Amino acid sequence: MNRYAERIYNGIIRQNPTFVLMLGMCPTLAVTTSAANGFFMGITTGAVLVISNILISALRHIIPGSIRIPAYIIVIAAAVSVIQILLMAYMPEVYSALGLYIPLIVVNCIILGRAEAYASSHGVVLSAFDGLGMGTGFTMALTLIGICREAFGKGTIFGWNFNEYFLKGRYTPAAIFTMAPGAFFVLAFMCAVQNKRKKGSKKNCGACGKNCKNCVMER
Amino acid sequence: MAKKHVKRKGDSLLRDGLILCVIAAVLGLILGGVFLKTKKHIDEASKEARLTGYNNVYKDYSGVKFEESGELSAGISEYNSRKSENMKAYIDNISKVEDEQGNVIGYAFIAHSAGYSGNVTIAAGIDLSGVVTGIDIVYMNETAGLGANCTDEEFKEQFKGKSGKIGINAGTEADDNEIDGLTNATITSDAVVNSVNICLDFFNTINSATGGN
Repeated sequence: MNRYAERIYNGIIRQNPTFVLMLGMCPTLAVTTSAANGFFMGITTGAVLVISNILISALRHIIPGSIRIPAYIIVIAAAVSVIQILLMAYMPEVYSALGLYIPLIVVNCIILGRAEAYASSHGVVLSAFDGLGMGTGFTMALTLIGICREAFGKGTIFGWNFNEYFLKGRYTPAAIFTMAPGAFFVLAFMCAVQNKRKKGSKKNCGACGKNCKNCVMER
Repeated sequence: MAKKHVKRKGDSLLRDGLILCVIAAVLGLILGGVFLKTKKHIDEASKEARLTGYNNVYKDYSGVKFEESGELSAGISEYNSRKSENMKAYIDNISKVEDEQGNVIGYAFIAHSAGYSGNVTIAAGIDLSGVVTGIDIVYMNETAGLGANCTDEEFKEQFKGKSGKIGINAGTEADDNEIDGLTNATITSDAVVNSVNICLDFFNTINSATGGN
């Protein structure tokens, strides 16, 4: 796997921002009331991630270490504002669905986290791929949570009423899934599944993929 | 990991501040440019959303035109500021509705009120006799499965033909001017009803000012 593809894989699976890094919980829990909302929130955040990663990586030799956090925040805020204006102009439906949560992307810790942990010390192209991978991972996670919440809470997926088609309306939607508690249920369940998959067997704790017998890591 | 944030000689508060200023200024300029380029589209998009709402509330009438009037718009801002205390809903826009011959047949309103999460913006049509021709939800971000059901036709249709002051049915039998609220979404139901009521109230003020029908 070349290092660009590795960045994408890293964002989607190995360091998935939602299920592994547990970053950006505010939009994850609040916006995913429906699959479409989760999907568009992920795409928007992903776009901001790519732009801010590119800019911060390009400016990394100019920005002095002592003021790097305010400088990053300015760059991120500008990227978010640009995306917000573009959404208002060309995709008003998406803008009205996400509304308040778009300006809040500025303080999304995934973006600042990637700026500090990756873009500030790597090249422009690699940083762009890192943003792309993280954005894709975030989009997938949010869409997945959104699909679950919409399916259990409303009986639809992306607005398509499967309850009516397949189950003849026999499933009574549990509205709690579209409300705040449902977000926690779904997120907790998915993190549990993810942890189980990674944990592996007794011989292999999954941390490095090698046999635990010769493990030198402190546990 | 690569070396990062090396402290160079000559680092000073002034220099750091200057760099931050330059970055902010450049990004600010870019932002301004993007905004100027897209302003026309943003205005068009909001106008389009408004017109879609207006057409939906007057869908039973064919060939109607919506004309904004300066006099009425001034009336709204006066009305909003006069009623600013204890007011639950605000009117954003009003247009005269004309039929094909150019006769005024009613008014179309955009109004908003605070819902469960953010504002609920509605379009409402009121004909010259003060009867609601229909309502439409222009913008809402309510809970899916509960408040979001306010976009259902079943709910919106209830407003058609109502006049005076609309209330929400609390008993088993609905009065003439009562609608059935949304299950488990009292705040959303209230927001929509308050917005429609404010439009009806404003209609009454302009109607009494012009001496009735």
